Amino acid sequence: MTATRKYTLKMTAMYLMSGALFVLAAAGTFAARRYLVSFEILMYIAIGIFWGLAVLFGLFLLPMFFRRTVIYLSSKEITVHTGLFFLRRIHMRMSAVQYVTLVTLPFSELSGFNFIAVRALGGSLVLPFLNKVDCDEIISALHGEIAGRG
Amino acid sequence: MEQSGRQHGVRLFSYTTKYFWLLLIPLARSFYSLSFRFDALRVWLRGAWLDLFVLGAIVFFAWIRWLSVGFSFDSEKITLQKGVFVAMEDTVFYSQITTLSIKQGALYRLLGASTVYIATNAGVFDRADVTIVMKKSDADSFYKAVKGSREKSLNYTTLPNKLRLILFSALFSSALSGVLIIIALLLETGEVFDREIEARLFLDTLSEAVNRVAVYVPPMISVIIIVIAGAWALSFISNLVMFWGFSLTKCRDSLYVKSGIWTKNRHILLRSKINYIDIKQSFLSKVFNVSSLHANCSGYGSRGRDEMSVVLPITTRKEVNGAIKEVFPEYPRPKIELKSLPRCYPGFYLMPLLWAVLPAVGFSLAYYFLPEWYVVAYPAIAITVIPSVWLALCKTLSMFITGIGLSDGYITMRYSRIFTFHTIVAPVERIAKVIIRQSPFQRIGGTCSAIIYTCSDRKERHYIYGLRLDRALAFFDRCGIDLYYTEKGR
Repeated sequence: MTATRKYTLKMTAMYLMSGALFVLAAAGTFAARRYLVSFEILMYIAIGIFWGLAVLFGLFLLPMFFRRTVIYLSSKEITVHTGLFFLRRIHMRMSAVQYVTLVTLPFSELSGFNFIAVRALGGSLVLPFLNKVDCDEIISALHGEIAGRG
Repeated sequence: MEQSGRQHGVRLFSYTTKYFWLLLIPLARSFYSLSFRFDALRVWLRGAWLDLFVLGAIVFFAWIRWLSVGFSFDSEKITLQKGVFVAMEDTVFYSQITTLSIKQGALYRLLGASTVYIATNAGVFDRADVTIVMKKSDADSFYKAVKGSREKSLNYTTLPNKLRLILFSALFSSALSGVLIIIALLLETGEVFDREIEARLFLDTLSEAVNRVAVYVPPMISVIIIVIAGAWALSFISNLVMFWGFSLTKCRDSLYVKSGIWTKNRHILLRSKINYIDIKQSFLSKVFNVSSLHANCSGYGSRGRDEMSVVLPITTRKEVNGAIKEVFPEYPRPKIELKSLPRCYPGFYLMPLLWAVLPAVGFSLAYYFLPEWYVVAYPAIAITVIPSVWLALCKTLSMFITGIGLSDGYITMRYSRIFTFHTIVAPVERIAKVIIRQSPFQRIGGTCSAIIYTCSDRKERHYIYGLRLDRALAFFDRCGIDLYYTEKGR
């Protein structure tokens, strides 16, 4: 591997999480309407919080995180650009990588719930919500680098 | 010549702890008896056979486990066999051992046993890869075997001046770390208000001491004096006990460290595996130009074993520089080229401010809800505010020294972490990860924080606050670290 490869996060994961947040907000609203009907003010506050959080995370924070997170992989380093309020540029030397942990959830090929934790001597780096193809490519690149050290 | 054997018999007792849960069975049985019968004792005695059986089972399991662990070593490697049903064998070549530590506490000295810790750059982080309790004679032979595998060369040995060690330990003991322990104790006491007797006992003792000193100084000041003096004494004694009889010998490829009064420690460090050196100073020692030299090497100064990664205990900066020249001649003199910007100075006070505000808010609430505890809360606030004032002082000094530099392929990082000032020199290739972080304010000001992770068997992050972004990027570019900053997102 010589050239630098650029990877972005799988947007399906974001749509699923945003959708789940709105479903949860609807469920919370239903529960509040049913069980907090005697405490009207509390009920409206609870509903407001549910929908506020759903809108904040589902329409702003999650899309912002997914749009801002980019992974660069070369034979020398792994670089991740990420962050919401605090912008972070993370660099990890390939030579420091000791081993790799792959975490996949059921139906991750479709959903994009594939994560790679890169363990280095002195720190680790999580590459979240990867496309399955990208995930396999990154894993094989990392394994190749580790095995190549002899 | 190959030598083999079993662990020292004393290891049997440490294995028993794993099966202490079995004692729950007779305990539950006794509880059952006491609850429902008048002649509980007799019933309990009649049931003692079960207790004895369980105790026997504990000893038996420990014996089986002790029996299943064996070791053998020769001139180039050690092999460790373990397992009852599944046999496992670990082989570690001496050339891969980053740190070999042999410890002998007072009890083990009486029993003729030593604990041997073998660490490499692999395996579980911040834990020795192999821990084994050997007979002292076996441990000595093993130490000799590892020593024999290392290069023979002319040695450089340094023995700290004992008088200076006592003096500097007394003057520069980190009293604040002791204060923090006592604050934790106070808070712990505060958390258990319902356990009034215990709380009263602690407070009565304190108030008795305060009354005696109060003849000369006001009670409030007395409490603070007692807390600081106690903390200082704790810190001083622990420093002295740890570093008495310290010696460092440097050979071509290894460092040999010996220290301790009660616990005798011996370490062999592989020089090529040392990740970085760290010149540590407290606020006072910074002002008086006194410091201690530490080295980060996998397995040395493990937190779990209450060790410090010292290669030269507290002494004058001149001596530390001399030791660096002799022991680490390839390391350049620390040089800072990129410092914190004056416009970032207010950010240094964020942490002390939080430290001051949080206890004050907490105790105001406590006073509001528990007004009768005002007598306790009032001095407690004063005590908890001391560290924040001290931290503000440290941060003020830190503003003028924080920065990074690069020379001869080595990076220098100078910063303060809580009350300790660090000057770290590390080969550039030992940088594992770099984060350039910008808060919204830093984005407006064009500044950033650099968080540098160095290779280590535990997470070691060095936080350099308030650098100019473009200069920081150019600096890391020179280090061969490309942060792809000009690249756009998706």
